[in-house]
Amino acid sequence: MRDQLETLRELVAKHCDEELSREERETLNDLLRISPALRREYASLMEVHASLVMRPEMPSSPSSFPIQRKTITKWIIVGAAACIVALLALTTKESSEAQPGFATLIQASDCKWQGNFSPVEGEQIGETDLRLSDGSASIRFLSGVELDLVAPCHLQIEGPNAAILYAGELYFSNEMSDTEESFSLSTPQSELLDIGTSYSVTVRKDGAEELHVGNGTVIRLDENDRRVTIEAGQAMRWQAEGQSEAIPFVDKPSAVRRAERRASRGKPIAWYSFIDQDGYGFTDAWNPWGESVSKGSNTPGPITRAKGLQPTEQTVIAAPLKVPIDMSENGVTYFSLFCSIEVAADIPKMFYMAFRESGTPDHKAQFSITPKRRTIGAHLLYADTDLNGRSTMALSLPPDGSKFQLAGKIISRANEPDQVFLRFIPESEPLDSFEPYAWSVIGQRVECDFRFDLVSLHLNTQGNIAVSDLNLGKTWESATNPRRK
Amino acid sequence: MDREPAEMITGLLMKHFDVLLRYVISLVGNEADARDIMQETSMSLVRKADDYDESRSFVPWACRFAYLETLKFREKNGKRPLLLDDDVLEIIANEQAGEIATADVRKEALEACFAKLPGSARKLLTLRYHEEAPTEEICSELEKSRRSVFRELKAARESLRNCIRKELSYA
Repeated sequence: MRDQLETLRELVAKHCDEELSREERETLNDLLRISPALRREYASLMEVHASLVMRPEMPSSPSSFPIQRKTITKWIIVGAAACIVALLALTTKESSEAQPGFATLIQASDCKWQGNFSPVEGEQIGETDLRLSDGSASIRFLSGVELDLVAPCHLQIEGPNAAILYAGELYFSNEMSDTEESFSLSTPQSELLDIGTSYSVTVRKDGAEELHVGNGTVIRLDENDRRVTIEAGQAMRWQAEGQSEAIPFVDKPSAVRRAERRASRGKPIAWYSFIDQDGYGFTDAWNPWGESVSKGSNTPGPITRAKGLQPTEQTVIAAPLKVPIDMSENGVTYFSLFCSIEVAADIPKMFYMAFRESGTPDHKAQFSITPKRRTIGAHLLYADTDLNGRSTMALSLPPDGSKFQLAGKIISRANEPDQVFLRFIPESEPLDSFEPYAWSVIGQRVECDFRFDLVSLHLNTQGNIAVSDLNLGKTWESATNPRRK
Repeated sequence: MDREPAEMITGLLMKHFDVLLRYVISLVGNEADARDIMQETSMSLVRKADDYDESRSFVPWACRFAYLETLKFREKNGKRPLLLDDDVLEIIANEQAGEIATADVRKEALEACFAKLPGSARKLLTLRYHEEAPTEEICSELEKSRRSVFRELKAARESLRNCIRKELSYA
């Protein structure tokens, strides 16, 4: 028995560390069949593993408890919160601060905000005071500058190119480093000017400040206008009294590294899940506008309740793009949407998808789907895009009432026209893990240089359409079979 | 469906979500699958909200749904073997459902026990679970071999488990 216990522990450990072979899995199952004692051992070890794997807060400070923070898991945000918001709230969220925005909250992970302003993902941000007490958040400015905040953090955004970090840890990156104006990040002790840079800066409670420069150069000006230039790979610490010392360089705060790791796992850059249950509707989690929408308007309005999956009035959902689609650069973005359409009549714009141009309220690049009955026997769907031009594509409509996945690919090119591809994937067709060799529709080439930061989906209530699960991603898999967690 | 039972179930789900997720992880062996299953489980629970008898404990009732959704998940993913075979899964699911009610107590004990671990073990677990660092990165950061890292991870988890048992025996 003792040997069996030790073997079981060994095998469970291997499983926890993803080292268990097929043969060892069989041995583990054989052992678990033998006795309740071995199963209890398995259960207790797995429970510890499960508790740890649910990503509790484990601060590096040895004295801190690891799991003090209530584990509001991704699922709760994605699933339970969606249920609860859909079930219980179903009211339009008013934006707490209406002002011209020059930045967008592109990612908010387990965020708790203090103060008057509690932005949600996708919300545009202008001059404001941000106090993040828990979680991490990423803000992207129109200039391309991104600030990753790690709680606890107090940041005041002063303008499109300026912010003050009063306390906490922040990671700065600028993917469009050729911008003419540098971004000024101030701290109580200094002003930091970036030149094609990524860096992290920490302002501690005692007033000390740390700076780690990952790329480019940072110029630091202190209160007495003393100027220090810090190059990539260097790190410095300044005490509140001004004494400085060189310290070992650390590239990024751990919270930022963790977010990047998760982002690299084939996750979609935007997604929205509809709940397939009568009585549920669309949540208002992504509605930063709080205004009524007039029919035919491209400006998203409040999200209205839908009965089941059949919208009873014009419905809009919107989700921020965690990685923007820059149509002026070479790139590819995939999207997919599960649909079921009963074709009752010719209805213009049965539904359309649109993208918001970064920094504006304007939604452009519609992909509208219009069903047309044809007397020759076939039903057709017309898919229009107006990526700064118009491209109409006709698709053979799947049989009435059938379910299908609408998949699309947007190719952006720096020096050539852009193009959109579409394909219906019927329910009966197995979904490949790779992009299909052939697309049902290849759009006309259009010129578009917009930079999009948010996607919205609009349904025409006259159309009898049910939709579910909108996904956008930079890979085929992330859009069609995403891992959202 | 009345909203009142559904509201109650969603409230209970929020309250006991961690417990249920741990239960499912113990059945399927990994977090990603467990979260998918929990999503389906929550939908099933809300659909059946009217059937819930308030005089009974929620967690064992919900565990049954989670188990059924786990079986459905296995069917859908037939080509990919999960950790446990069908018969073992059933036994573990039944035995675990009875134990799971004390999971909140265990969680508190886990918090206390983590704090008691040596700093090196805490750092290792933090890298592995919180930072989600790849093994190579852990080896590099701690300047240890893969074998040592795995051995120490196993020991750290077992220490935690033993400490939790002790804590609970005093509770």
